[in-house]
Parts: sequence; structure tokens; C-alpha cells
Amino acid sequence: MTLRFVQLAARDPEPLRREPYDRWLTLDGDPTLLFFRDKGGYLLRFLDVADFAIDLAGRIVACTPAPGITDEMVADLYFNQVIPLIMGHDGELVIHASAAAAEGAAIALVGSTGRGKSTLAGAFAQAGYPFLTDDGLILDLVGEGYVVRPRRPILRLRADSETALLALPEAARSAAGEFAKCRIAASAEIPFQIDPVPLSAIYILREPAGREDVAIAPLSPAAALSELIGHSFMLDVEDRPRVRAHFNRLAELAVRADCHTLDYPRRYEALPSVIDAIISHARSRGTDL
Amino acid sequence: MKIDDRLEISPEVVAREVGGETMLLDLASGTYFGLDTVGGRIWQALEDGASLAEACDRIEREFDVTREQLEHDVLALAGQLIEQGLATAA
Repeated sequence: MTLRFVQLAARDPEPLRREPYDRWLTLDGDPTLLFFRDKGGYLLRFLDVADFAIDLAGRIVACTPAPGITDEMVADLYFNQVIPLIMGHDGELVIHASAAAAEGAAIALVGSTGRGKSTLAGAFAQAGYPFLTDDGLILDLVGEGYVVRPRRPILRLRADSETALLALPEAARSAAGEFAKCRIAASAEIPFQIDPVPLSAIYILREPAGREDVAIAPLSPAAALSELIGHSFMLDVEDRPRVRAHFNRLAELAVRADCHTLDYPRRYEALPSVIDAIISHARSRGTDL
Repeated sequence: MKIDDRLEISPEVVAREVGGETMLLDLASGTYFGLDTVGGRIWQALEDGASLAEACDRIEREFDVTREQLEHDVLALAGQLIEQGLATAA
């Protein structure tokens, strides 16, 4: 996918008098991203952070950050949100998920922002299972199964996750970025998977129920489809041919992939045993692990 | 709605069988619906242009269910499909 990215001077966002045709909400129900049509393309407004004007015909994305927003924050949004949305529009299958490679196969962790995707990916990496992405999981259907494409060798963690999980030298850290997350570059301690690997299983992170054990339950293909629909990247929900194709791609994934729900104790010290339980479960499924 | 009626499926609906169940996507509203195995078979019959009674004939051959129960279920599903805008009475 070829795109040209242009970053314009920071300025306060111009008020838009029209209604967005779509919006993303946080887990608390607050809007975080508004979708507008604009000059034959799209305008994505990440509230209080940046506007991204997308010219699909010219394959140009122009970002106007709000004052005080760093280049790193712009890059995070561009790579983790804007590019996946455009890829989805172009017909690729992109899911809100992190992933790690274990014994040559990928374990995908699907969930909304704040559910623990990046923390788990970090914990996998720390345990020696290289991460493939911390969001915007790209899946290619190859033969009968899916292959996961590696993305950015950067993990974005909340400051408390970083402190608890990763005993990294100070130099490897950056200042807290957008949504109070820190940026961790891949390293020998936090390895990144460079090559694509086949998908082993998908785990959908449940809302924490305060449990002390690891609970993994199978999802029927129909239930998996319902979950995946809510965790996929779709730029234009009113573009019916694309919505139809997107639905069919997700249905294919739901049928072919081994999908489960996952809940686990949200305590950092429990993460090694959580990782062991997931690996052990994936192995027991007789997949590529 | 009577058992001899036919439904016209909305062209805005995409149906997809997923692991024995049928998922419906209404492109007009962006809403998703799920049908169990029997519901999916009824939907398939209606998509083929069968009347509700003809849909019952098909299901009766495949599943162990009384005609009375089947007609009740088919009429109920037809009402729900119409109510949700997924079909109209032909």
C-alpha cells in the first residue's frame, strides 16, 4: 500500500458544522474519533489530538495536529489507526488486535483500547515470544488459513504497565504519549517478530470480571463474527459494497479461525502464568503451536 | 400475516451462513442479526421465493417438528423480519 503522508503546521481544529457519519467511542462512551466526508475524501478528527484529511484518489494523507501534540503521537495515530482504516477500505482484513509469535505461529489478542492487548503482547515478548503488532493486526488468507503480517516494532503501554512489566533502561523509554501511553521500541529483551507467521488462534479479551484464574471459552463462528465485527477497521460504514465485502471477509475469518474468549486476573504479577495458560491452551487445540 | 403469504427480502440485507448459523447484515441500518439453524433454513427458503407454507414444507422434511409448531415459528420469524425491516410482505 502506497500513501504519501504530509504533516501540516499545528493549529486548533476548525469547527465543522456538519454531523459526522460515524464515530468511535471509548469504553466509557465518550467520542474519541469522528468521521466526516470532505472534498471527495474523508476527514478523521481525533478529538483534541489531530485531523487527518484522506485523499484516496491521490493517495495522500495530510495531518493537522492540535497545538502541543508531538510528532510521535501523530505517528502513533497514523500507523495504528489511519493506515489500518485505509487498508480496510482497500479490501484488507485488519482487526483491533495485538499479536505475538509462539513456536512459529501467531496468537492474536483482540480487544478495545484499554482491555490489555498491548500489555499482554508485552508480557508475551518479555517471556520470549516476539510480538507482531500492538494494534492493527493484518491477516492475509493464504490457502486454508491466515498469515499474520508483522507491523511496527513498537509497543505502546500505559505507564503503569511499562513500569510493572519491563525493566528497561531509561534510555529506551519515551515520555508518556497520547492516552498516557509510553512507547517501547523492540529490543533483545522485548523481541519483535520480523517475518509473517500463520495464525494459531484468536483470543477476544473480555471485560475483566475480577477473577483470579485464567478463563478461556470457545466461541461459535457466529459468536466470533459478532465479536470481530466490533473490532475491525472500517473507514466508511455507509459504503455498502465495501461493507458487504468486509462482512464476508470477517465471516470467512470467523469460520476458519479458532476463536475464544479470554478473561484473566488483571494483576501484573499474574501475567507469566496467564501467558503460560494461553500457550498451553493454543497447544492443546492442535494448531501450529 | 397468513401462512400462504410470501415475503420479499430487502436487497439491503446480506446473509451469510457461519458455522451452521446464519448472520444477517442490514446494510441500510448497519445492524446485524443472528438466526439459528432452523431460522437460517427458513431464511434460505424465503430468499428462494418460497411462501411461508412452502418454507414449512421444506423444514418439515429436515427437522423433527410438528406442523403446528413449525407454522407458529415461521409466522413469528416472518413478523420479526418485517418488524426489523429485513423483509416486506410481497
